[in-house]
Amino acid sequence: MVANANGKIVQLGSYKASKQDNSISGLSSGAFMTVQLHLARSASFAGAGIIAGGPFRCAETYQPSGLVTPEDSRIENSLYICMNPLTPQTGPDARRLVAMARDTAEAGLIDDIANLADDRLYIFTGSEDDVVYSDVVARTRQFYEMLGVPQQNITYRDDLPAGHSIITDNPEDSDLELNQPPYINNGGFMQSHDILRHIYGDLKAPAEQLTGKLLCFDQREFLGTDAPWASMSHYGYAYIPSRVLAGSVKEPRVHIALHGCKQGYNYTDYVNGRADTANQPPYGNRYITTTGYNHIAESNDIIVLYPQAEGTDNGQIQNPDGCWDWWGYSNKDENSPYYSRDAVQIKAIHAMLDRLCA
Amino acid sequence: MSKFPISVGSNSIEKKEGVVAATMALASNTMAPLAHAMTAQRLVQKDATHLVNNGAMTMALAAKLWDPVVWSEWTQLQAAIVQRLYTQNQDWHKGCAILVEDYGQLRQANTMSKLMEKQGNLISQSAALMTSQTTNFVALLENVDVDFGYWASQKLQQDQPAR
Repeated sequence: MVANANGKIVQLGSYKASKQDNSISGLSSGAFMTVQLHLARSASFAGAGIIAGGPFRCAETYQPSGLVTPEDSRIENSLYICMNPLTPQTGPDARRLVAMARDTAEAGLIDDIANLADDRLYIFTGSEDDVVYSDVVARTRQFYEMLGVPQQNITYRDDLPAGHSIITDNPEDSDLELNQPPYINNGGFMQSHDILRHIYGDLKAPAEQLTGKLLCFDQREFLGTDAPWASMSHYGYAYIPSRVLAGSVKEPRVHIALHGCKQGYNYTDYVNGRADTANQPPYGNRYITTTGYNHIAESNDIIVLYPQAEGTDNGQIQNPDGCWDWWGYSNKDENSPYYSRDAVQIKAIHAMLDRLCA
Repeated sequence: MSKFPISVGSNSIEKKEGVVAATMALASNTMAPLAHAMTAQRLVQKDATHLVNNGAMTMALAAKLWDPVVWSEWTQLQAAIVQRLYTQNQDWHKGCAILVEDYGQLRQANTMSKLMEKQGNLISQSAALMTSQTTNFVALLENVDVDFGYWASQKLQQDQPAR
């Protein structure tokens, strides 16, 4: 299947999708963003899939006193506490982050924490992951449990010798234990299917053939004047199953699938600090077309939304790998911090969901 | 492939545009050296702050090293640092082995341009290896600074009465 059957850019349509029974998943920076979006708009979601991601506001775990600015501190936290802590004790502090999440909710910046109580979570860390260490992901589970998500609602897997990746059963993907782009590894099963089955219970087997449409839409209408801070691509993608297209599904569910760093459709490698625009993007839309989401979505009438982030490295925004913002590079002003309902990226992605639900 | 222009148009207008662009780039970046110096100063100041903070916390923690939990975690931190250094050392040796292998293939060049290209590649790869080793080492130093400060602050906070 090609990315867009007729090669056209369309406006994202409305399908009267469910307003509560939606879900979200992501890998790496997409997983950190999954946690942020899940908490910021918990009223809209029934569950989340987190592959190699840390807890909410992880980048604010430790603020040393003195001359270290909050911006510098968030970057240091994200690199050395939320990704590569030296020991388990120097990983994120779940208790402190739970308190911060509760304070953030009380301040009205995110939805009510109580919405999480019946949500279902799939959390995964590969034991060979050397990009986001397992100690960090273990804290994500602890974080959600302390926020009141029952243990029986959480599937936590740390038993596979997987590198930093979303796992597929595609023979052409990287070996399971590797930690290298495009971070799509072959482990003999489709992790996206496990995520959706855990969130939604028994689902029909994935479709053999895709009979719906993969649409390419213009994301810029959802960014508006926030575009300069967003580090988001011009285009996003959405898979619309055939029965939803035909209008025969009442309130279809929406799943938002967030790619990780270096996985957006227009990701361009930075060589010696310069975007290598002379060459084609190395991975294109592999995350969108080969990770298995669309096939299980087709047979179960689930719309899959693939928002896209892109690399920006211009002094104001330092995000060369096209990661989702979980350390504050897109902070526009103090009223809309990167983790809040009004954060540039969270607002844009939720506006896309609102369009599908309208 | 280079991102820099490799040829200059023969058309005089193109040449003029190139000169204008270069002049504008120079003009808009006249303050760049000053900004660069300020950034370097800020980062040195930040590292110095970490050092002072961590030094003070080390003094305060010294009295707690009798605590088996603190002692055990302190030892784990040191073991983790040694492990990271060992991994970096392994990466250095692997990188050098690849360079030696590439050097051995220089003799397979059939033309002078190919030989120049292969030699250039080897120089670029050597520089890339040196850069990545240096960057990784500095990153490890920053990692130790941040993680030690964070760990020590947690241990010291445990002494303070809950509010």
